[in-house]
Amino acid sequence: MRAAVTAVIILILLSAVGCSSRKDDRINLIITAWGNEREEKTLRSLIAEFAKTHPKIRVELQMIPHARVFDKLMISTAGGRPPDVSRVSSLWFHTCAEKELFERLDNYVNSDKTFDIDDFYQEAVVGWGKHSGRLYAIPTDIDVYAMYFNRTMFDKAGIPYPDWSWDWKDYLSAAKKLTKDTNGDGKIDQWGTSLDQFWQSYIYQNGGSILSPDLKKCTLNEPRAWQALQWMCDLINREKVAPGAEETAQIGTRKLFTAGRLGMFISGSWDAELNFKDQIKNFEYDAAPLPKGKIRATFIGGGAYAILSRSKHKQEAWELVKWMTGKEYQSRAAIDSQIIPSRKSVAKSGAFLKLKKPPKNRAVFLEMIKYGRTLPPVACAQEMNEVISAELALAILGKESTKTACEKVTPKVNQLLKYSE
Amino acid sequence: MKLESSQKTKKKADARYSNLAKKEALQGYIFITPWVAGFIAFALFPMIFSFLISLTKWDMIKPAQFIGFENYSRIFTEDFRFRQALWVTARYAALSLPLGMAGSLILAVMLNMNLRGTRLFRTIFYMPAILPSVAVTMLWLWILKPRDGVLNYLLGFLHISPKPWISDPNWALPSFVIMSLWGIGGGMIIYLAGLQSIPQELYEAAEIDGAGAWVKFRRITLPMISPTILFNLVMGIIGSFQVFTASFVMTPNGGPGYSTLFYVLYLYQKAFRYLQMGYASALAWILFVIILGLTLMILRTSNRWVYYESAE
Amino acid sequence: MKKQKTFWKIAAYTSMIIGAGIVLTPVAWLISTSLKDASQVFDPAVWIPKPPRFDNYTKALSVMPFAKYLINTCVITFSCMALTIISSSLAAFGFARMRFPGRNILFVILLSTLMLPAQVTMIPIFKIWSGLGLYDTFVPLIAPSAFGSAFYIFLLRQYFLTIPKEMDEAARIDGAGTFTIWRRIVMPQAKPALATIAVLSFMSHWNDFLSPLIYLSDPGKRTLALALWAFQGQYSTDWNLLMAASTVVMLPLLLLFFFAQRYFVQGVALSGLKS
Repeated sequence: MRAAVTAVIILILLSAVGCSSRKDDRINLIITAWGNEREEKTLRSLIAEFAKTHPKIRVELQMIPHARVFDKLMISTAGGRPPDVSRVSSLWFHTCAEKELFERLDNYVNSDKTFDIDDFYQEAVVGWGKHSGRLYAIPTDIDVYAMYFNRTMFDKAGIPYPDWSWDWKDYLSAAKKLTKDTNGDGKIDQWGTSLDQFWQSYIYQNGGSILSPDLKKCTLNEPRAWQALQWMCDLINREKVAPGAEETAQIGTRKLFTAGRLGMFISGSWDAELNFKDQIKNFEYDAAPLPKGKIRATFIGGGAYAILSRSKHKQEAWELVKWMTGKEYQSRAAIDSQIIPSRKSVAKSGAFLKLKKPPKNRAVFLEMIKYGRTLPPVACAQEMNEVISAELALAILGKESTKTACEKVTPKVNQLLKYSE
Repeated sequence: MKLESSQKTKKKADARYSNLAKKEALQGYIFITPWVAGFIAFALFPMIFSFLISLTKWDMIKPAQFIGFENYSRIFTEDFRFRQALWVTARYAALSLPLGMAGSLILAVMLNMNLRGTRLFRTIFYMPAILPSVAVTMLWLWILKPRDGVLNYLLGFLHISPKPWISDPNWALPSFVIMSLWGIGGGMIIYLAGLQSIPQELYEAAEIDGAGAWVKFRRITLPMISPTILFNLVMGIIGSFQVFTASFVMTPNGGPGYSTLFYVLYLYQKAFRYLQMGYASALAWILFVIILGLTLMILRTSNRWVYYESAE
Repeated sequence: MKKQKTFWKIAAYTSMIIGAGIVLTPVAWLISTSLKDASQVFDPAVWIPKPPRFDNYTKALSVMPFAKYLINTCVITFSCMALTIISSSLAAFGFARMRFPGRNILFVILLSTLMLPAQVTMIPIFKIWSGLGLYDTFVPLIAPSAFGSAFYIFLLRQYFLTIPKEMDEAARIDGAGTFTIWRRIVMPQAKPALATIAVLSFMSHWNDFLSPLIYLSDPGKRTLALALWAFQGQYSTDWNLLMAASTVVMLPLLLLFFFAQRYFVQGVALSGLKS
């Protein structure tokens, strides 16, 4: 009995110790980010250098899987203890900004002479730095999608490489020629292409839109939108040039590409370094622009760094944000991870362009930036995206037409928009 | 004279007794104080608070906005995900409860036959029910992989074509049912205890009358454990409505076409992902009313089919 | 008659053996996959990997600081266990042995809280803890146990009722106060029930996922359940490592179960019958 009581007391003391912060007269900043092992190493070395020039600040890096950063920021802000700085994604930046999760940075930028906001690509600043006209985050990289293709496979099939003249028809016919059953077992093992990871791109390329220009109504039920999506789904279900859910649920289309079983793969510039470098062994690959629909368009987004509005050390956090979006980090990221910098000076400096590794035609990513379309900057962006994706999954599986899916989804999105102020 | 003094002693005794009673009452209250405090702090007050929150629009960051019953009206008239969540949860209960209850009952009956090795079997069957949900879900994620998962591999031996499991809206929910069937050992233990309290004389008398195994089961076993069945049914329904960990780990976005959007998963999304606390609180209250209603309904109709030995 | 009996016996045996096989197979896969080399993970025909990669375990455990997570989980679980036992038995004693006005009403209220789904109170309680500045600490996970749990109070009360009162009265004549009776007389006799509660409480807190998910933010504070989930997010493609990590998380419960089985069974049985 006495033993139990002492045990309890000891445990409670232990847990109290577990939750007290370290006694330090340095200021403690917590920064959350996502990334794989290599990106983590880059981040840590950068933070170490920051620590050298800022001895009064101690920075703690918390790596979180990309899919969970949003949840983490929301809950921890509601709980009252968010991190001080976080890397944020353009996908849910507006949702967070609307809720004032982030500190407004206009004053910081205006009063800090060492920081040049004009060096950044305006597409990025407007796309995922500003919300309702106010600056909430500093973009750190640009994620623009183009098409990787398997050069060796194209050579073998005798097809010319994709280029700026391609439109949807050329794309489809090339994909058809590349789709085959290579070992004669009756099942297709090599596909021409996979779907763009962002279904929104197809809509934009067809001249359609997700929301009306005033962002108050959903326009997915208009022909330009659902016809584009139908074309996308047909790639799997009718034309059969893209692998379906079963194959992709298993390994993912990326592994199919790196294994040499996919002719064309749409992704961002970072994929070359993150995955292809280690995993592509038997063939050569390169990059090309996305084919034109009615117009040329592609998904564009990226990361940014923001200060959480509940941080207790905002001035120091600003120093950290400046560093993380500074020229050194961006050059390093460009060289190490083939991430497109958000600073024009770094992009043009050749840190990205002059790399010697594949894809040789990497300039195409920079050229696609002007065709980039960001996702609608609404507050309910995250929820809207999930609702649409859930329904779209059925269309991709071929269980219903995209016309039906879009007609079902449009009123639901309109509801979300109505209630999200 | 004598009467007076005996009355006096009685009064004194009464006084002493009531003092003792008061002392005992006070001590009683002291003993239950931790629970009472906990009840007020973690049950009563939060319940009231939660109802009040459900009348507002609040994200815990900006101040709350009173909107009356708008959340409730939205939920009932416009919210397709609410209906979907109810449908998913009800479908899950309808699939997993009958199968699970029948299965665990049969297992319990077999264990109750006191064959050799019963203890070992009991251990084996009960084990899955005590394992951490997260770990179990990881295991099943792997088993249910469409292309190279072992379940499809084994089905191939039975000449059944591979199923797409979690990635397909028609098979995602059945995946959860299968997972739940792996854990029927929990219910089995309860049935076992119930079975063991059935007096043997009943069976012996029936055997003398020439009753076969099936008759014995139907006429003796089932009625005698009907209270246990009732208990398992109620707990099972409440449990179905509270499935969270498995659905959150396997399909955090609710599955293709929201086919595995369990009610509590939806509630969690609204509360902790979109920070719509008022709406989520309304969902929670509706959940409470549903569970309460179902339980009362079952209890009320149970008079007809549950046999209580003491009710004679 | 005898033929019938043997028929049923054989039927039962066969079914149970098949059933046991079905139940154990996933566990077999778990262990088998945890020892596979990455290249073999998707080869379902391989049951016993050759060579067995025991280093999967060391790799999985080193990628994340599982030792710290183990300590976190232990601190939370054991604190909760101790607090629950003390507070629940105090309340159960009050309900079982003491008479005070309103006792029956309060007990009915206690039982009715068993019907209250946790989700109803989850949000306000989150707000209260965060308002007190205790988000991202262990306090929200441990403190509720200090106030007793309705289910365990119920179990213990039923058990206390079956403990004969003679010893109580003897002690009282010797001048013992009520608290001493609780501590020295009733509690030692309630060891079986207390063991059951200890075991059930251990299981429920060790496996708890939702509360740590909501209240803990710092990766260093993760419990094993959270860590496993985070592991999956980060290394979802390394199935062999994931299975190894899952096995490790399951192991303490498996051990506890094998050694203290009857307490699990007892507790479940105790609760099911008296409802």
